[in-house]
Amino acid sequence: MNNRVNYTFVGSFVLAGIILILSLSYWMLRPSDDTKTSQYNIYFDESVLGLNIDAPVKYRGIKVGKVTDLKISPNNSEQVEVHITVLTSTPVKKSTVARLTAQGITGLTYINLTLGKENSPVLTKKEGEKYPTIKTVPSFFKNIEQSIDGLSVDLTKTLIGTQELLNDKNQAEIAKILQNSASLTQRLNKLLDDKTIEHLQNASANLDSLTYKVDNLVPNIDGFIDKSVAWETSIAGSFRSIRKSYVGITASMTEIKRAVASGEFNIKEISSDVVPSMNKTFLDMQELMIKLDATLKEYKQSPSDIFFKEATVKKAPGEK
Amino acid sequence: MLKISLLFVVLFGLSACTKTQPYIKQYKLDTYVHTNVDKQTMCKEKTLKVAHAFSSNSLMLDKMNYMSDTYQMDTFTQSQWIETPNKAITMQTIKAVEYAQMYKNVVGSESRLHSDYILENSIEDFVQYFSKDETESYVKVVIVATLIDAKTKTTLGHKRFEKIKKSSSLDAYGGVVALNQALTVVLEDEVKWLGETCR
Repeated sequence: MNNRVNYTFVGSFVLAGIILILSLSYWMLRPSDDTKTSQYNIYFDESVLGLNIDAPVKYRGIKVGKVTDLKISPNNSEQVEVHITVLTSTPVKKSTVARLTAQGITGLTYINLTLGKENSPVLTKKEGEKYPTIKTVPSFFKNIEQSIDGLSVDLTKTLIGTQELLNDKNQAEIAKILQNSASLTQRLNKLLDDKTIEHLQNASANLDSLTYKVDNLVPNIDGFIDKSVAWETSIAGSFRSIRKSYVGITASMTEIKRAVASGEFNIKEISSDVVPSMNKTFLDMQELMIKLDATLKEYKQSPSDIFFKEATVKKAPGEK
Repeated sequence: MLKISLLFVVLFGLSACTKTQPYIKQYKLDTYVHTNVDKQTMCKEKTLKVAHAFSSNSLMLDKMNYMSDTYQMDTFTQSQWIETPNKAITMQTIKAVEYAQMYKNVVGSESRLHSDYILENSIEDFVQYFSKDETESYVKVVIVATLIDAKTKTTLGHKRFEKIKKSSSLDAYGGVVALNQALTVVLEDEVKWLGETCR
């Protein structure tokens, strides 16, 4: 039996097996993209009561990380330094802010990240910082607390003011005013007897009537105003027309003046031509009118003469 | 169209009922005034305008009227004037003054010529009178003349001229002849008077 073993081969095979196992282990244990994280610091000016290690860090309600450390800030003892680890895929930008938010009625608190502006640059660590720092905004309770504090201050101021207002002197004045008011009320009671009230009621009724009449009158006034406006427009138009005519007349007169001055327009010369003709025309017209009058008189005396010439004719001397 | 045709038929029918009128004689005035006046007067370089004469309406018709009584005026049915007495007298006046050659120009009122004097005639009477029994007849012409300075519109002279003349016959013709003669005399007197005003 040949019991010859190739040790070189065995050694190589074992070595290859070890390398394979190591490679497989690394492959299996390598961090995926989802498990890549970034670390940030947050400095809260308020109490972080309810916030524990491993408390969730949420971004719009989705858990994106956790609190990994909590301590008093070494630089400012009034602040609490919270160290968080969040997924790298979380969009933490310069405008991103952190707020402590209560988790239901359990008393636990988590950190809620709110993204600011979309186009804000990515948050990076400043010089001298180990991790980037996320800004904070007061929590809901902090806001209430601040509001209550403010209200308390205002209330205190009001109380002080009231106290100053109600000093002895002012109290005496107020007492006097009240006394005067009582006196006035008494006088008013005397004044407002039944008769006066009746008069007031009548006045009120008259006022109602007057209002009613005014209401009825207003449309008429509106109509009157409309008519007035129309009339005014018409008058304005007339005035414009008159002004236009006046301007025209003025221009004509200027032209006539110029013509008269230059001798182009000689009224005497023109009239010397026109007047005799007119005179003759008027004389002819006068003659015509007289003839018409005579003819009418004749036919009025004997209308049948138009056709029959039957009027009685008196023969003149020497006529047959 | 039917109405117009009917109207023509009716008028044509009625025309048969008309009477034939007698012939009407027409007369005109034609005076010949020859008056010797001094031609070298101050009016020699002046122009006279004879205005249209003033008269009653009866003298502005071509009908020839006559007075049959003091207050009764009738009309000759077979005689009439060619032109109205008013116009005829105005024309005869111009003619008479022009013939006298006293003025540089004598024109009518229709003339465009500027005048120095204006002569206004007012015809008060120009008619033939008959007696009641129509056995006698005469004519009467009365004209009132006024000479006016055309520039100052002031009266330079004023005179009444009257002439009565017996008719040669008792008819319209006799009246026309007598009126013509009477007017000639009146115009002669008027021209003389004008000549006197020019001295």
